Amino acid sequence: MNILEKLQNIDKRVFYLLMALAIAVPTISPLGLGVDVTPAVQRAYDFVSSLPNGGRAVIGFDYEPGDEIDLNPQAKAIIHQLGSKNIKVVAIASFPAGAMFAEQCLAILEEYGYEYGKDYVNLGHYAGGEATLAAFASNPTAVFAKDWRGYDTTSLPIMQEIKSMSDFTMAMTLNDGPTGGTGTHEWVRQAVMAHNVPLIMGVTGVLAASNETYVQSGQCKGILAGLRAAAEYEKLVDKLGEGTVGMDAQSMAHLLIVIFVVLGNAAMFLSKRAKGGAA
Amino acid sequence: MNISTNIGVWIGAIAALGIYSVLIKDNPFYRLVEHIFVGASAGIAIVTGVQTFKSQAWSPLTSGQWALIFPMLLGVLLYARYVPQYSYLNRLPLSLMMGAGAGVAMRGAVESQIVGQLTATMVKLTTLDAWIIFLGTLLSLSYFFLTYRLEGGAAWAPRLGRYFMMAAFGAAFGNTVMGRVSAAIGRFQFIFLEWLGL
Repeated sequence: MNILEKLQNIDKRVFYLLMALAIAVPTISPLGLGVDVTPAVQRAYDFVSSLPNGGRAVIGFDYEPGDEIDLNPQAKAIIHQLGSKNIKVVAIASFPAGAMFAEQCLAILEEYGYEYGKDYVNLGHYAGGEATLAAFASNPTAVFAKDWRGYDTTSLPIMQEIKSMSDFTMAMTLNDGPTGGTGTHEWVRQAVMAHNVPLIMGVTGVLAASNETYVQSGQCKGILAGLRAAAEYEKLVDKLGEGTVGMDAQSMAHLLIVIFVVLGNAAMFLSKRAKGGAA
Repeated sequence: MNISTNIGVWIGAIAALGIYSVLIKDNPFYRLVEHIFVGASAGIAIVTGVQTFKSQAWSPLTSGQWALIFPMLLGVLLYARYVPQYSYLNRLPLSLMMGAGAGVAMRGAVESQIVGQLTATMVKLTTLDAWIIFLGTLLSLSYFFLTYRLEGGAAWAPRLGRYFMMAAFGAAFGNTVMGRVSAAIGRFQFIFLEWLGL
């Protein structure tokens, strides 16, 4: 077997091992490669910056543990920005685990002097996807009689200010797809189209391409896609965290993939040419 | 090195190692963790279902919202499919769910997914981006012009449309790879930073 054939038949376990090293080494010992801010993320940041101080935001934690690494850092970064602008936050979750992530991320608001029930609330999980989101948009306390901590929502000062989706200054969905939860399309329909509330999206890398169209059409004010967007947002709000730590590993892993794709294809073309020449 | 003393973190880390062990080859450790995962997921789904039933239906019902008895009965009818002679009854709640679901979605679907998207392609052709959007839309649509095959001089349109779509698929695949790598990074961060405390 010559070198070209060997390059096309590398044991996949060798690739797994190299990939593990590419991720593990920068995780243990960060390289500090850094990221540049892309226009899509800058647009989302600029939009939130342009909101008046003291507004109200609804955030949908529409993801499961498998996508925590992409979406938790995004949530934390944007919550820092909301906190710095004194924007009140209402969290809802279309996945059961989403309510737990909301609780983790909203704890950041305590740093900004927020008080639970007055300045922010975690309403918890709702079943029923788009139909329930539509019901929430019309009458939030009818859908959530109690919040995630067990308080009556009608007794919470923040919920007394919110009678419908239209009372929010902005909406955001942190989303890993519609399977089992409320997807981005549903948020566009129920928040933007039905109530004219500006929406930004935080999505996993997989969903980025299919949702960019909403940004181009102006139906979505900005989109954060994957761990990279989280790192960029952390840079913008000057709160470096999990996203930034993960980017070194992401860059090294991508570099490894590119090297293997180039080597594999080069070997294939060269061996085809060699066989053609021999024939 | 500051190894975690949290039992939950230990279970999570050992489970992650068990799942990754399949990359070497299929083994009993991997299958054990896989079965625990499936069982735990089913358990969580049941608990969530019961909690939702309690909070959305049973508690309001027992506190005086008697009208909720009707949707609850409709919910029970969904299980009629398991009794052959009454299975037709499950069509009633299913029809209602489909009708209500379609109605809710239709409220903004036409504007958000048809009118809004079409409008976004009608841009001033003053930049390269605008030209790419304009041509990409037209040529991709020409690929799906299935009434008759475009031939001769017009055959280049669907061919170019296919290239535009292939570029889009490539971008989507690249994002998918990024997402999968992120998932691995999440587990590695958990193992090295949260579990082993490196």
